[in-house]
Amino acid sequence: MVAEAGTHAEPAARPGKVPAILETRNVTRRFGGLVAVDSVSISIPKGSIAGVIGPNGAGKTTLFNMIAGIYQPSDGEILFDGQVMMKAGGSFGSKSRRPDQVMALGIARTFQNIRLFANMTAIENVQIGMHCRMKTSALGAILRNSDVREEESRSRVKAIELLDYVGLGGHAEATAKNLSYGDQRRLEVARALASDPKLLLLDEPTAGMNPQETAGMTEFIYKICREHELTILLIEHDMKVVMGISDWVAVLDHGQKIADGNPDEVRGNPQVIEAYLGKGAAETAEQLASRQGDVPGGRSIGVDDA
Amino acid sequence: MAVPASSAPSVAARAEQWFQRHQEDNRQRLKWVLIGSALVAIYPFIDEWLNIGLLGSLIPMFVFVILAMGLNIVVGYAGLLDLGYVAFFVIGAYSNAFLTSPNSVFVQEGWVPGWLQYFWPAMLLSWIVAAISGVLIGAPTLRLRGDYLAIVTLGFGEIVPDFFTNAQSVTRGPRGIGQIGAPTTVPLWGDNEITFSTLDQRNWFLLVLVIGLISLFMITRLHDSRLGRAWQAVREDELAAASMGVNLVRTKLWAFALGASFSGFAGSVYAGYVGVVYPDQFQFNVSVVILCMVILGGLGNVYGVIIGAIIIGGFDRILAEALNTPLHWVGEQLSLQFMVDHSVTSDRFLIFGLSLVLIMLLRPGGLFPSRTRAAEMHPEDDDIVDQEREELANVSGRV
Repeated sequence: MVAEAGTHAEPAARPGKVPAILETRNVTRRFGGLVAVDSVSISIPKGSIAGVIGPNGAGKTTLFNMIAGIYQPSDGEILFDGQVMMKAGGSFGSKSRRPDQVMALGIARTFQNIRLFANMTAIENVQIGMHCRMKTSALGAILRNSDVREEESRSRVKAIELLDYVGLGGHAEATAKNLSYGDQRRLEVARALASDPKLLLLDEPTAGMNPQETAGMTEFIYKICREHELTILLIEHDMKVVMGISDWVAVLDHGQKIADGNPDEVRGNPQVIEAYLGKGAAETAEQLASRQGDVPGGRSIGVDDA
Repeated sequence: MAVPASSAPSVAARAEQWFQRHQEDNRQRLKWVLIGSALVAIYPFIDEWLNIGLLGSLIPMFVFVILAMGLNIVVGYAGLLDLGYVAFFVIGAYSNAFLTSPNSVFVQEGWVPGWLQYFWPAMLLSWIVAAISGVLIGAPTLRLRGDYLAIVTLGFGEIVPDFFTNAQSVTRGPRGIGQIGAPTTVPLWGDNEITFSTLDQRNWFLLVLVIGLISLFMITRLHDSRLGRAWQAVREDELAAASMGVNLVRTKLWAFALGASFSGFAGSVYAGYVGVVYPDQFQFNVSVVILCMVILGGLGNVYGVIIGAIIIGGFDRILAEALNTPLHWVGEQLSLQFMVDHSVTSDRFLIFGLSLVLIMLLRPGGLFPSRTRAAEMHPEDDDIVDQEREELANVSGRV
């Protein structure tokens, strides 16, 4: 076993053999009669960058919100790091976790439409990200003994380190809402990293960015994955971004998983092309792809999410 | 963290710098608080010397300052609109009465140990009882948001005083409980001592001032802590706060419990000072007046809230009374009978309501808004507005 582990020097490159950090098993979410996510099973290898794509209303965000603890699955179970994190099923045997408990387990997230604490400073935003890793109680806050002072001082240093890391070191005391759009996205990432997550969920990290900013963000996501020991799961509309960055991709359509695998496999999958471009487009796109060597539908498809 | 090691010392230094700037602000504020309270502490001596006789009005006014500081935790810091804050005031006052009055059933039945029948331990226990009641009332209601929470707390604010009216066998109903224990004498050096009889207005005044300062100290420390940050995060965006690891229920319960606990202080001191509690002292309008103080002063800024409480309390207890004389004089000069007969004190609520409307229209953050609270109330970005104004000025200047 040890010898075999040694051969896995590049876990990201060989996702199939690495243990999964996150696994969903037949996860379903119903809203009344609507099935937003229909029996989706995905398995995300540790240390990889994984992408979930799909047209508008495919159920990507719902799946994300289930992982993050905002919705409970109507069916199925979600495993994190080998442990059952959430499980649907009657009054017995079901398991649910609130978003803050999910965060404490080691899953941090960002939001599609940035949700910073707009009127708090950058450094305070990052400190909130550490909330569940800090211990000060109300009594401690009043007495402010040496443990509390030390913890606060450590949190300040770490917050500034993280802000430096995402390139916001000079804006530590800026109010979050006064930062530029790209900086706000970076601050969200810093806030998420503050909890030392094992899995980072990025909900459309490049939404609303111009090509230059998108390239910067892509580079940045690479960097995070490389320099922190974590796995990244991202939702994206921009096919170019997902295909370029991911080690593993799953495609959702109408709540169902229609394909998964490495980007090259998924790219050529006729079902995927059909889902994105409609029937008949598959052949055309294939021809186009072979001619240009580019991703079919390489432009961002759909800007807003349902 | 994979952070370049070379930048580590400068990071720590910058964190320290940032912290020191904050500390400097706090020290500056502390200086003003100390100067202010020293001036206030001198007042009773002046009052006695010049025979002004306002202490009897000022003591309840300062009790209301403590109440406003407590409510500010719930409404200002955590953003939970509580319209029934008076419930905790009642509970604090009655806890003290139950423990120290010879009329109380609990004392008569011998359930209260002797050492607890004194003001000081009773005050601490009232503080705890109020905090626990905050948790009990908060636990079922805090799942609600915004307007719904306000309505439920409004209900509790009505239920609790009614309970004390109707539970006659325990609370003696509308007659109330009298002979509440005053603080025992505090011996000082030599023959000096501090006594708290009804004649010792000055000592009562100073006692309330000291309790107010202790409350202020605790509240500012809570605000600048992990819990205070969590309150602010929950206020700004509940979903994001939860997703960032803040336990919503626990954080809100702490706000409720701590907010309530300070009204336990206020209630027990008030009961001890007045010497009698009866349910009519705690009507719904008390909740409203306290809320007015918080809003007028500036939601979320404890110093603003103190000033707001002094303004409203001062008007309520002193100025309204004092305005009668000039009004009657003017009425006599103009021979307008209705003016002569009118009493400004009956206009109190009209004036509170008007001032609240004006504050909301003109300065929604309050007279002394907290930086972040004011920003939350202005949805448009002030910077953008300023920038546009500047540009417009430039254009018109050129033309």
